[in-house]
Amino acid sequence: MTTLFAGRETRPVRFALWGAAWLLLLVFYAGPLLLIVLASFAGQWNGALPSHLTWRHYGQALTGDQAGSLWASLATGMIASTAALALGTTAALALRGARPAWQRIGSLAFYLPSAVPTVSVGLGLLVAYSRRPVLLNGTVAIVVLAHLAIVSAFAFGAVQAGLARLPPEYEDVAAGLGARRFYLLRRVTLPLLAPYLGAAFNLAFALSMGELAATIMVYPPGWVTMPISIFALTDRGDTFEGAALTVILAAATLLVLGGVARVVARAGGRARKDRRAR
Amino acid sequence: MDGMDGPRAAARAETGAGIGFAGVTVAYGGAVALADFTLDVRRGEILALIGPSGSGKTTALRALAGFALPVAGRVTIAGRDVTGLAPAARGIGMVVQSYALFPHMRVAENVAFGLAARGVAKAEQRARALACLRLVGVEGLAERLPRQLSGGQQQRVAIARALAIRPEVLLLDEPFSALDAQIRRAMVEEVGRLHAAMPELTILHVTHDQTEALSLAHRIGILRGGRLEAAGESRALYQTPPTRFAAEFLGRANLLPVEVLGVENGAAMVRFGTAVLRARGGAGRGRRLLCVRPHALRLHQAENGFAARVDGVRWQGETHALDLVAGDTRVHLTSSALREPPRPGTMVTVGFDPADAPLLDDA
Repeated sequence: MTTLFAGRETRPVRFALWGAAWLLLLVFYAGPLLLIVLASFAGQWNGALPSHLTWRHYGQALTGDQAGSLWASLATGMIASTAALALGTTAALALRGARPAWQRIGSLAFYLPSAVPTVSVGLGLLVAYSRRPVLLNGTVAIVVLAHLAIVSAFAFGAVQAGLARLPPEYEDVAAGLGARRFYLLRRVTLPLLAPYLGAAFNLAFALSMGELAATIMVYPPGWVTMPISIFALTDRGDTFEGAALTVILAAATLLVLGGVARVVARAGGRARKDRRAR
Repeated sequence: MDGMDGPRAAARAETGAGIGFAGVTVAYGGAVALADFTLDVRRGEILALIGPSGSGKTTALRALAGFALPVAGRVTIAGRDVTGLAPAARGIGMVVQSYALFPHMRVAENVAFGLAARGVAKAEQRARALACLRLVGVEGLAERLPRQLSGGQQQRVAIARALAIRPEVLLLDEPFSALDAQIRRAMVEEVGRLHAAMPELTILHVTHDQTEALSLAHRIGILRGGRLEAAGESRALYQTPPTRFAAEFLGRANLLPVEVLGVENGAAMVRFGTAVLRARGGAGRGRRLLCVRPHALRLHQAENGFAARVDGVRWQGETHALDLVAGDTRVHLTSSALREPPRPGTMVTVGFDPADAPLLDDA
């Protein structure tokens, strides 16, 4: 008998499953990405494939009106992700020892912004901070705040998952040896959590780099992030330039994620490998 | 390594106390994990806590280390009440089953961790860490990472780390159960040797392995359902278990249902089936259990013996294990390897020395 989910598939069934998975990947993920890359080099696209290939769109994207977008996105992403990581880590550590009821309330507070449409988060911040005493409307701070509200849940969740998987013996032994709370946190807990902290930052940063709906509600002139620029370009018909900006956005994001992964590998990779070896 | 700081050793010599549990009760939520637990461990003594899963032995250890706060009772170390103290302030070295070596630190850093946490100068940290590594025979591994060590080496490093802070008490929480049998035996001997070098160190050893407990501990405490079932000198507890549970948990035991007939020449006379046997102690009359260890039974011994049918014979290398049936009772016998073991189905006589057969209450 052929079973699909028990790990005893026959070879033809296994090939069919792999084929279907690759097809879905190609149609819904790799295909559109490839077309965006092609479009970013297109001078014209009248047939099946683009023609008059050119670097011109990249030149315009990096020197034209959109030149500041890359900086705005990177700065917003970095600040929001770092703040989300600090906030999420602190909250996850604080809630770990709390009573179950407080844990549920704390988790709910963090997860709530991720449960509502991001455009609502933007609108909420706009309404809340458009009047005194806290007047943030029209500032860069409100953009960062919007991103922070949206990505915090993911950073918090990743750190919380890491803490849940941390074997308690490490901290028990360290405390028994005389390590006080902050010494233990600095020398044992955070290094052991490094892979999860890296993952939390990367997730927050990637989400922030792609955030559009909330940003569009709150961004001030002069702080136009890349997704807004891409949206504006395609909206007015500059699809090829929008595609070039999309490729730059993806490359910049991957570059930062790769850098973080390297730092994490140095700081906490040894811990992860050791736990795997057990 | 000198093992103990002079002034501290002197202070302990005055009190003479190692570890004390006085009516300690620990509850998780509504569930009582340890109930009214009272036990004293003398300074310099090795005490093994054994018991089945969920018996409360690890809870007792966690209460001593400060990771489980008792709802009642008092925990003392060297005569000092530590019940409300944080784990960091208790001066306890701890070795756990998973070793819990910090994977991001090299071996020397791991061993020096407790010293660094206590603000010991760096040069002294290094010197003491290397001395401890030398003590457990792994000084050549100081610059390695934990993942580059075998299980036995990791366990030695974990012991060195626990000893580096010169603890008053060393807690061993099933430290050898992840090791294979040969290394486990070697590590038990190693801990015995270390204790001989540091005779003032009090060791509380939590284990489910009775052999480990018998070969290492001076005294044994047996826990059952969160309560102390029995405690005593290892040999005495093994030879004269106070309860049926203690007899069955600490080594294998044949518990023969007998009727006590009386006392004759200092030995109890008991009836087992149709046989009248002599046993150790046991005043009074009535139904009791006769406890005979499988290795205390002698094959083909008619004196103070009974007849049994051979049900199975297993060769185990150095020994033979015989499954016998006497009346309705199954009896296990182990002997050194037999040249001509009896065949299953044949009748044999088995006897024992009355001194090896105490009487227990059938409870």
